[in-house]
Amino acid sequence: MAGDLLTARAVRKEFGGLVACSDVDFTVPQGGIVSLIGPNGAGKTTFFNMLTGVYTPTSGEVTFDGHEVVGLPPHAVTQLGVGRTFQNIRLFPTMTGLENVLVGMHARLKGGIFRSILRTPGLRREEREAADRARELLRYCGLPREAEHTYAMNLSYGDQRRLEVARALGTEPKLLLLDEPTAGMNPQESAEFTSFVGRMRDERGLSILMIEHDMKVVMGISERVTVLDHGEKIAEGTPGEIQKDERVIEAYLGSAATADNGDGGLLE
Amino acid sequence: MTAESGTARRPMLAALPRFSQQINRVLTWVVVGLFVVWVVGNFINAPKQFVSVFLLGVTLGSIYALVALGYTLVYGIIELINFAHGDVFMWGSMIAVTVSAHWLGLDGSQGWYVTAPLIFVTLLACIAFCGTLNVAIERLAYRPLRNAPKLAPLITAIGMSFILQNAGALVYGFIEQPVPDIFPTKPLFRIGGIAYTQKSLLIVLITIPVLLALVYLVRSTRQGKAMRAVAQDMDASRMMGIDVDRTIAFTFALGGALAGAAGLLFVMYQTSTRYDLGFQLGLFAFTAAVLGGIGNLTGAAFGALLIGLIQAFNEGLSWHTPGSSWTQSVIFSILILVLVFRPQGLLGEAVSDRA
Amino acid sequence: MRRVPGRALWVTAAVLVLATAAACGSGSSSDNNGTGGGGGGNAATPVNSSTCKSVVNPDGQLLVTSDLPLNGSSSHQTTQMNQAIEMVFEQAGWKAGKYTIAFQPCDDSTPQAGTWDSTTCSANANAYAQDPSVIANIGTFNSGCAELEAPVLNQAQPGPIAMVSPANTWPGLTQGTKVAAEPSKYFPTGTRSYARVVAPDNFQGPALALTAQGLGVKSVYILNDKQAYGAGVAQYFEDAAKKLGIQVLGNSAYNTKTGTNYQALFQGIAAKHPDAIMVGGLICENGGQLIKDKVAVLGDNSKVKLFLPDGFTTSQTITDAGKASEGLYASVAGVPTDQLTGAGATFVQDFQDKYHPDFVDPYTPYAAAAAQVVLKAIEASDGTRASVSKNLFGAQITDSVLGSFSINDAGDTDQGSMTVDVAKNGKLVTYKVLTPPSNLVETFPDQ
Repeated sequence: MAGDLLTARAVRKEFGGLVACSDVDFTVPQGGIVSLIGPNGAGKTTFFNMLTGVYTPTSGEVTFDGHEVVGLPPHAVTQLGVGRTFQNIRLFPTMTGLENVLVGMHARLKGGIFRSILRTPGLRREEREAADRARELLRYCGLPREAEHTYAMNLSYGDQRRLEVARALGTEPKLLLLDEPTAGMNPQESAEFTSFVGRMRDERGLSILMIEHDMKVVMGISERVTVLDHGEKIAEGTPGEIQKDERVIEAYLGSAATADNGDGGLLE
Repeated sequence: MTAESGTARRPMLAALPRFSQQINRVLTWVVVGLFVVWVVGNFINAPKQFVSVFLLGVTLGSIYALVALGYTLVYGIIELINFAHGDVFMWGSMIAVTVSAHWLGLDGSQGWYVTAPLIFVTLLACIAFCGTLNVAIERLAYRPLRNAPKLAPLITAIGMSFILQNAGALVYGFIEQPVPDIFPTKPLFRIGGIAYTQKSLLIVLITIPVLLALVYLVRSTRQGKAMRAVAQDMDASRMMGIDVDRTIAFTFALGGALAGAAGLLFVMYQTSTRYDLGFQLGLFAFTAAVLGGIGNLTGAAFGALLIGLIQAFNEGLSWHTPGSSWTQSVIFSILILVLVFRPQGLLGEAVSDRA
Repeated sequence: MRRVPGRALWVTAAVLVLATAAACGSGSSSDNNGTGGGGGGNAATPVNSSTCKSVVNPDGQLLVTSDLPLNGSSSHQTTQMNQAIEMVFEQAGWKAGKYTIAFQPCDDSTPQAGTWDSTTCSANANAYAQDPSVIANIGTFNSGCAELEAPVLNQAQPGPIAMVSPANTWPGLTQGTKVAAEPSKYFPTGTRSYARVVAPDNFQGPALALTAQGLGVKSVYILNDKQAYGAGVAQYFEDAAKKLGIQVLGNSAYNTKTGTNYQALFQGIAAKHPDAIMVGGLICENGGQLIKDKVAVLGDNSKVKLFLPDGFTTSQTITDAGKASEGLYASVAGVPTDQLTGAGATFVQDFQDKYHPDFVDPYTPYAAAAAQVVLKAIEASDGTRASVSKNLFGAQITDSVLGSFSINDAGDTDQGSMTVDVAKNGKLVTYKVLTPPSNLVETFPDQ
C-alpha cells in the first residue's frame, strides 16, 4: 500500500527443518503504531530479527522506506532508519547512560581519527552538539540527571528500560521496533509507557512497531494488531476486531504460558 | 575493553579450582607485601645500583607497554589472545632496520637535524606496515572464525605466529640484524655515578604520550566508544548502527601500529634484532597485559612497567635476588599465578562467577 | 558458541612447551641425496637420509660419511671442512690400502635452528648404523651432537662405526669429567670407537686463563649459557683462573633468548668491579647483544677485558657486536693455519689453489687431519667396522697436515695447542699460541 514505511512480503524463515516464519505479509504504515502479538514461540522476535537484518529470510522481501532490506548487514539497516530495543535489556553495561546514547548516535556522527587527535573546532562542536542531543533524549525518556554519569548496569530496572529507548532514539530512526518494552513493569508504569509511545509518534514523527504481551498496552495504543501463531499470521485488524476473533482466542487459550502479567489476557 | 576499570565478565579460568575470595585477597596482599620488603631491602642495600636498575626497568617496561597494549586491545574487543602479536612487533623491528639503516643509511654520523626527521619517517613506515599487516591477519585468519569456538582462532593465532616468524627468517635470514647506534654514547647526565642515556629518555618520552592518546581515543572519541560497545555486546552494537567489522579492523590497525612503533624503539635501543625476537618479548608483554588486567588499557601499561621492573630488579640487584637465570621462571610464574588466583589482573574488577 | 577459555589455555601451554627455541644461522637447504642404488658391483650404498648429499666417488666400496652442521653460522666453516676431506681422499686416490672408499657429507643441522639439531643428529647416526657400507664417520662439529651420535655409532652392528671428530671439544667424550658416567656412556659396548684431533676444553679454559693472567687481570666475573659446552668451558676457565691466582667474583647463567637486554645483569656485575668478563657460550645465542651491553655498562674491552671461547671465534661475532667487539679475546683449539709447516703448509697451499677461499678457516686442516686418521685406520684394518674402530687408538700419524701426532688409548690427540685471537680493527687476528701446562689441565677419573 502506498504510504507504507515498511513492507514485508511472503517472508519465510526456516531453520533446517523447522519453519519459524511461514510466508508472512506485513506492513507498517507511515506514522502508524502497530503491534505484533502471539503466544510464546510464535515467531515474533524472529520476525523482528529479519526486519533488522540479523537473520536473512529464507525467502520473501522486506522493503523499508523504498530500500530492499534483505541481504543488508544489521548496521546498514539501522543507518536506513530502523531502531530497536531488546526483549532482554542489552545496554552496554560499563558505559554511562550518556555514553550509551552516544553509541546509539554513532551512525549519525562523523567523528574521524585525525580530527579527534587534533581536536579541531569542527569536531569539538560536533561532540558538544551530540552530547546536548543525548542529554535531551535522556530527559525526554524520563531519566534523571544522575543517569548521565551512572554505569548502565547500576541503573534501576525501569531506568534501564527507558535508557534502551533513549539509545534507540539516538539512532534517529524513522521506524522504532520495541520488543516487549513493558516487561517487568507495574500497571502504572505500563500506562505511562503507553502514553509515551503515543507522544513519540506524535512529537518525533516516528512509526512504531511493538511486540507486546500486555494486552492493556496493546489495545490501548495500537492502531492495528497482527497476530502470529506458529509462524503464521492468523489474524490482523483493529484491537476491537482482534479481541473477538475466534482463532486468536483459541491460540491463546490453547497455549500453556501466555501473558506473564496474568491480568486476564485478551478480555478485559 | 575499558579505559579505566575492568569488564563485567567472568574471570578467564573460572573453571579451575580457586580458593575463596578471602584467601585470594590475603594471598595477594602477602605476595605484594613480600615484594615491597624485598624492593626496599635492596634499595637500602645498594641505593645507587637500585636507581640505575630502576631506570633500566622503566625503559624496558615502556617497550613492553607498547606491545602489551596491542594484546589488550585485541583481547578486549574479540576475546582473542593474539599470539602472533609478538611477531608483528618483530616485523616492526625488521622494517625499522631496513628503512633506517639499509635505505636511509642512518649510522650516527649525521647530525640530529638529519637523524630526527629520518627516524620519524622510519616510524611512519613501521606504523603503516604493522598496522596493515595486523588488519590483513585479522581479515584472513581471524574473521572467518569469529563464530567458531574460541579454541579455533587461538590455535590459528599460534599458527600465524609461526608463519610470521618463518616469513621473517625467509626474508632476513636466521642471523642477527644489527644496526649502527645512532645515539651518542655519552650519557645524557650522570648523577653520582648513575648514568642515563638519551635513548632511554626518548623511549619513555614517546611511550607516555602514546598511552595518554590511546586512553583518550578509547574513552572519548566516537571510534573509541564504538570499540568499547563492540567489546561489550557485539550484536547490540550492530543494531546501533556500528559497522562491527570495520571497528574490529580499526582495533587491529591500532594494535599493529603500536607494535610497529615498539619495534622501532626496540631497534634504536638494542641496535639489533632477529627473526625470533617475538617469542620471548611477546610472551613477556602478554604476561604484562594479563598481570595488569587483560582488556584494560591502563592495566596493560601498569603491568608492563611492573614486568620491566621485575626483570631489571631480578638481574641487577643483589640482596636475596634470584638472578638472571631465573628471570623467565619468575615472569612466567607470575603469569600462571595471576591466571589461577586473580585472573582479572591487578587493575581489573573482581567479578563473581555469574552476574 | 561455547566458551572454553580454560581448556584453550592448557592446550596453548602444551603447544608452547613443545615449540622449540631457534638460534641463528643463515638458511641454506641441504641437497637431497641420491638414494637410488650406486654404481655397479659392490659399490657403497648411499646413506638413506634426506640430510645427506650426493656420494663422491660412488664406486668406492667403503663409505666414509661426514656429519657437520651445514646450515647456520658455521656453514662457511663446515663447507671448507668437507672440501678438505674430499681433497685428502682425492689425493690418496680414493684408496686406503687395498680398499676403495667413497665419501658422503651429511648435515646435522636444520635451517631453522641454524645449528645442530638433536633430532637430526640422532636420526643421522641411526641411518649410518643401518647402512652396512658405512665404515667410518668424520664428525661432529658440536660436542652436543657428538654426545648423541657416539653411543648409537658405538652400538652399530656388526661392529662399532669409527668416529673421528675434527672439532669436538667437550672432554667427557674421551675422558672423565665432573659429569656422571663420562666417558663410558659414549661407548655402551665397553669398547671405545670415538677419537678426535683437537685438544678438548680442559685445555681451552686454562689457555684463556693464562692469557688473562698474562694481561694483568686480577679478578674476573664469569657468565655461562647453561649448555654442556658453554657451562663446561666456563667451569674449566674458572678452575684454572683460581689456580693462577685470579679472583673469580662469580659464575652465573645468562638468558640466551633473542630480545634479552643484559644491561641490568651487567649493572649487578659492575658493582663487583671485575677486571674482566669471561663468557662460556655461543655467538648465535644472542651473543652480540651480550657483548654490546657489556661494553655499554662496563666500558670497552681495553678497560674491562673480555675472554671468549671458540663458540665466539668467528667473524660473525664482529658483525653482530659491531664496535663493541673491538679488543675482545677469543680462543680456538689448534694452531692458526699460517703457522702450519711442512705437509700442513703444502695442504693449505693446495687447498687455496683448488678452492680459492677468502681465507682458510682454522678448522679446515683439522678436518683434513681427521680424514687422514680415518684413511690410516681403514688401511690397517680387515675392512670391518670393529677393526677400523680398533685401529684408531694408539695410531701414530706422521707427516699429516698437523705434523706428527698420535691418538692415545682414550681417543685424544697428544697435541695440546690453543690459539688465542684478539679482535683488532674489525678482524680476529692471532694474539698468542700456547699449550697449557699439565698442572692446569684438569683431568678426572673415567667413570
